[in-house]
Amino acid sequence: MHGTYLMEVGYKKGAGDPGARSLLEDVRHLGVKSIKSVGTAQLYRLVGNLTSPDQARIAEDLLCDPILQEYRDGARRAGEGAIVVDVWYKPGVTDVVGESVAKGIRDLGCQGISEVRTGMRYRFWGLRNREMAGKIAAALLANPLVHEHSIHAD
Amino acid sequence: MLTKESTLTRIIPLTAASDSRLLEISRKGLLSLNLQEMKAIQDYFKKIGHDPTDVELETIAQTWSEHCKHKTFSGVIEYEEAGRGSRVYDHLLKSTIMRVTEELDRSWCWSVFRDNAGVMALDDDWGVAFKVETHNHPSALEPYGGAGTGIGGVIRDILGCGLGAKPVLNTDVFAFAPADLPAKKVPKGVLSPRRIINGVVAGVRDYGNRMGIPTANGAVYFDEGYVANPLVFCGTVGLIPKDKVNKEVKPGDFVVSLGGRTGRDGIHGATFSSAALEEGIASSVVQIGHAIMEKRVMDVLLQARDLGLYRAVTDCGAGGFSSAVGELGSETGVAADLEKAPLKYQGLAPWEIWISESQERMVLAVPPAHWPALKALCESESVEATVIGEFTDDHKLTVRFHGEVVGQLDMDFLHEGMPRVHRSARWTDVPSSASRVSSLKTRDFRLGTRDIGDVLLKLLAHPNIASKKWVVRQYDHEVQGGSVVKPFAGFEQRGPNDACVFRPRLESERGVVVSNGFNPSYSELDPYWMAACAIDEALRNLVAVGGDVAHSAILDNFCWGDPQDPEELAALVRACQACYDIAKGFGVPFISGKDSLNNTWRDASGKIRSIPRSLLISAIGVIKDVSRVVTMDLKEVGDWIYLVGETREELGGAHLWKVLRKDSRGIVPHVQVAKAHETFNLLHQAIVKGYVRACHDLSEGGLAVAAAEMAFAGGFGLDLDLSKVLTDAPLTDAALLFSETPSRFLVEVPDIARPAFEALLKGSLGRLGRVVRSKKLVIRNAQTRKVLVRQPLDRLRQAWEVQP
Repeated sequence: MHGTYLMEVGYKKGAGDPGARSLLEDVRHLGVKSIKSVGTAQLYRLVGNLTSPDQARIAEDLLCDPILQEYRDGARRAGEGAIVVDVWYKPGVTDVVGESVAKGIRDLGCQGISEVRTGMRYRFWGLRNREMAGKIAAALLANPLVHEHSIHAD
Repeated sequence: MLTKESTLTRIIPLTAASDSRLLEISRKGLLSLNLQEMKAIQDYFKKIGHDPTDVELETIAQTWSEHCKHKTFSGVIEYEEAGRGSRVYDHLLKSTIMRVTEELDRSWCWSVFRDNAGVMALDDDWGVAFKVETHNHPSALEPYGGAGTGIGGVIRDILGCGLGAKPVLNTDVFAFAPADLPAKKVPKGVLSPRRIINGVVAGVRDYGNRMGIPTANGAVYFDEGYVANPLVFCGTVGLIPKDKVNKEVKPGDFVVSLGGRTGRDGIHGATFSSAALEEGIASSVVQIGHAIMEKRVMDVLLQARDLGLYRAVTDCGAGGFSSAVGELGSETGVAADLEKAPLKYQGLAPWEIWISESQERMVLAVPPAHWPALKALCESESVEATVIGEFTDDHKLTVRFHGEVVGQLDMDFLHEGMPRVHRSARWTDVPSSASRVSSLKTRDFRLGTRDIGDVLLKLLAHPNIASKKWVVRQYDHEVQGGSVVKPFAGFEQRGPNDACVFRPRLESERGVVVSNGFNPSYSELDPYWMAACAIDEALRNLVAVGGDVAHSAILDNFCWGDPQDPEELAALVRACQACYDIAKGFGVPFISGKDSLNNTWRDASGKIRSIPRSLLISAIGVIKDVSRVVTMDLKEVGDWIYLVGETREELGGAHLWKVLRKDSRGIVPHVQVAKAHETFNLLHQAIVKGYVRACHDLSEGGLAVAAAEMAFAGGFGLDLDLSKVLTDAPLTDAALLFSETPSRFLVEVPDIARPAFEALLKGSLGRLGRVVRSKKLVIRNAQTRKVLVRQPLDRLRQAWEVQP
């Protein structure tokens, strides 16, 4: 059915998360002492018609590294105790990775997807409040010239 | 002709406008045109009897931008030196930099200053094209995208040189503010240095690596003055057959757009890059790169070139179609139908399609008979190619949209009608002879023996000197399989080579050497000697690995402040004059170059600041036999160590002051060009004859740093005696160790070659000591009987391998 599908690709437990390690250092360098840990994940927003078997196939065959990564749908999930920052390219900014994913999906034989946009999801554990996440986003994660970001608590 | 406004094309009421209204039109439209230029445009449209459309005005603004036309360098400059007379430079570029090339008139320079890149001969049948570009303003705003499209753009310059060259090497030189700069020194609205550094390094990495082009040469330089305006120099070398160096457009040829689609990205890039950086820039100036697309364009283009399917090609860079199509058709005339251009999305106005700087696009002149073959080839490689117009013989640039003419300009007016700028330059700084008197000498402060070891460790850890492994190891320098001298040398590949050598044709022993020189810290004292030292450093690095100045060429890339400031312009004139004097002295022609002016920004207190006056000199040379090249790591115990070249107390702008946290005063390093030229030639002979086992140039940090690097790279110790250094006068130990006098090398020579080497370089060298087995760097002074440095190699290397 026609709609927007949000997919999140992150690292399996124990598989390491190199981006998160250096981000954690940068956050500490900013002076955020309370930070405990950081997680990163790629976000894909697919627009069009998609069956759920196709969705699983796209995630497993195209978006995930089967050794290190796993996927889930990108919906919010309560109870993780993390503050989450999502960063997307603004509409109109060329998203070349998104274009390549769209082509990859067509090459897999799924013709229903008209557009793919990519983004990043950062989870922070140990932040006192959302304002702190906003400061981190402005300093390290999003460039307001090309990105837009949103913050929520999981 | 468009007689009334349509919804998509506006008519700009210009012919009746007052001066202030003209300026307002320029400012509001982000055109970056001054009053004199606006008036020339007004006169043109008065003469032809109607007001311009937005397409026409935008075309002129793009074509006349500082970025495309180099107004300052081609203008008239009255240069005046306080108390020392004046001189008029009528066309600064022609009277200095291009004049060297003209006077030297080398037959192996195949294409200079007229195409997207300069071309020199590799052998009888093949040439190498070289171009270096800057992408500073986009990289300040969006480091990843800005730097990526910087390298993408210069790769397209190489693809658009002649009938297309195959990219075989990338180089990159970056100038940033230090990563640990305190937040209070970062102006509002400016990204933190660390973000800029990480973004720029990653942007160049992802583009170059994904296209399968090795990046094997570069430099990273740090100074607080680059905080809001980093410098990102990207260069590419290409391989081109001799019979593909020239292009020619014929009337009737199709105008073909090849590669990426057109969107709103990068609108006003050319005019924006000619303006100062201010807060509140729109996101439409940012371009995002797509390396895989460009790789496909490259593959298709090189095949089509060899099949002879087109007569001319150029890249869509600054100014987009308006510049590329206008440039290809400048000798004939051209008509474009904008509705045919493939778009990323609908809704673009004609002027937006016309000037958009969407990436990965090339424009070709294709004879109609070849079009079906080209189209089929493009389809087979999944590259979009579209006929968007044709070349004519009317010497007009005509732009149509759905059959309606939305712009028409005479080629003569567009390319020759720009009024030349007249500017005055005034140099009021103390002449260098006076600063000689007032300068700080190493004699004036005590540097104890213990301090010297400490200073050496600090110098090795200074970000400008320290290992660039954190960048180099992200870049693929092996792809294509041609590398000979790589970024790192030595047993563990952990010492810094001076230049890279690679074989662009694997079936030949001929190599190409690429190096660079960049010394902005000297320009504070005198931009003349800064430029002189940059040329010396680039050539010195080239000679150190086995290059020959007699078969080498250089490129200039100026990054400067506001050329309307007489002092800033005078500094630029001085640097250009040095380019003429020194390059002529070395007998090395310039084959291409580029300038980026208006690198100014507002600091935290709102004051307008300029970047340090910066000139990158990139050198390229041909090596006949790559088996004769030399690296910088020590090779064998018992070999002799020579310091080639004279040492003088020249510590002005030296890194010694940076680590001692003192004002960098003193005499700026001078190049004695006739002597240096002779030394370079003799050393080259010694290398070709096989006398030299290792060679390293002396640059930032002087003798002590070079000796340390050679030692830990090779894993052997050194025992050196400073009293043997060739000098012009008695010098202090600190000056002997840390002076940055140019034109010097540290050379390892086996005992058997000692007599021949000494005879060849007689009068230009001092024999300082030998390579020893113990893993220590020992530097003593036999005259004063002091041991000045005694450091284990591990400690030296640990200091050098610090990451910023």
